[in-house]
Amino acid sequence: MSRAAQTSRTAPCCRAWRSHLVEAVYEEISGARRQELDRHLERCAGCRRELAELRAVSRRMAAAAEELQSAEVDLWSRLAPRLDAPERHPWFTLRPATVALLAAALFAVGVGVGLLLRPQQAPTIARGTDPSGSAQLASAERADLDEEFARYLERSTPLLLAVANRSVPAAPDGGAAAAGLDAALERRAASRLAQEGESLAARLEADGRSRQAQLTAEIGTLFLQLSNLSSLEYQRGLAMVQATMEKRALLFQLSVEEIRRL
Amino acid sequence: MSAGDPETARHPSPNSAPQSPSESELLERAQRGDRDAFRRLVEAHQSGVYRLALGLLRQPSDAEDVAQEVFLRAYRSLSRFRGDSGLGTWLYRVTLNACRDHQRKGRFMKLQQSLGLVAEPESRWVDERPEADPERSTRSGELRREITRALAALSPAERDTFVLRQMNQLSIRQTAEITGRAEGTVKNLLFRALRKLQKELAPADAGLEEASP
Repeated sequence: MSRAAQTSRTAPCCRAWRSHLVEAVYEEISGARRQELDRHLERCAGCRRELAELRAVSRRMAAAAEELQSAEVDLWSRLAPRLDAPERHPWFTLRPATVALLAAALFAVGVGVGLLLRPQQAPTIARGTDPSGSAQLASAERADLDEEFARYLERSTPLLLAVANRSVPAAPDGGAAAAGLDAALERRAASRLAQEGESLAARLEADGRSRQAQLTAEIGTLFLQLSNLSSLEYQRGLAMVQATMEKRALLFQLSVEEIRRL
Repeated sequence: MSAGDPETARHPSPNSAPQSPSESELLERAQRGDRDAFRRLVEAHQSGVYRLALGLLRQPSDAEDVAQEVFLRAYRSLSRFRGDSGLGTWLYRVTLNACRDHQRKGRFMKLQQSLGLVAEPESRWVDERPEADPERSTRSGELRREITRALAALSPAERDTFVLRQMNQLSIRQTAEITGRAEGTVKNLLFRALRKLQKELAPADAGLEEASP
């Protein structure tokens, strides 16, 4: 490879021109904006290289997708008989009174535990812009997302602690009833938090906060697991959830053992 | 957006002939319970919905299940559709949500499998639909593996943005509208997606020339 080619390969694409490059890949750039990019490309080997590589990837994916998506689909014949079938609702349906009671209980516990954990909690978890990511949200929106992330951790902590510290006595059926637990209520709470976590993780990821997104996704997955524990297999399922929490305690920046000693 | 707008010419709206009399009329009739009108709307939009689901889920049978689910949801929600956005845009949003629901269930299944609570199913690389051609299925299976492997490297946000723009051939503006994101965010997600895909796919073509403006 010539020195010139090596130089062009190692020169990075200018971050400020990424939007223009994407528009050029998909041929959605024109007018003054196009002229701006043309002038820049005349003097920036890094961006020229980047544009060529991005176009190559796009063409390759387009060719592969074309092959896969050329098949026709006919939904109506299988869809029509289902139109008159009764609609199935999710197995849980939270009543407003239940939501209010659950929210109040979690809030009360959350405030207490959150205050206790605050020195260990928020400062250890990176906030703000991931240097390698992008800041596409306005500052006010980013502040809102920061707040939402902090609130999600605070609301999740009580349930995580409760699960981590629970021991279900050995019983012939290994079920939740042995511990006198209202597993259905716990599953509903976990399901809600799992859904919220998934939505929040996606928005964090879109804003370039990969670490926070990963943490949120991990918590959401635990809640998903918790929400699907069956009453009959509760003991065994709970042990697995607890094992998962122990294994991932580093990611949580929380030590379950330390919390147990408080 | 006018009919003479270049963007409209290159990126036909997902709403087919946006709010054209024929689609508007079909929609009104379907909202009044006309089953045939709903069937025609399904036929008009099923390819786009299926293509989006296939891009996100990468399995034809899963994509078809989700596509059916999308139109079922649409059928049950027709009376609530106010027309703030076009019907196609609305259907794409429903498809994104349906795919996320499907993946959520699939993720839990994988959790159960990893914990040994259920047996893992055999890999399904072959199109299992009755009308699938075996020879085509083999070739498709290799392509699907390549695309699946590549798309798996993307975050959910990158993936749905990329599929909408690249595979469904919607514009950046249309993609932003469907996903509820700013256009700048969409462009950033596309950039990151393309960079990640570049790393996942086989080495770049030899003799790649620098791009001319």
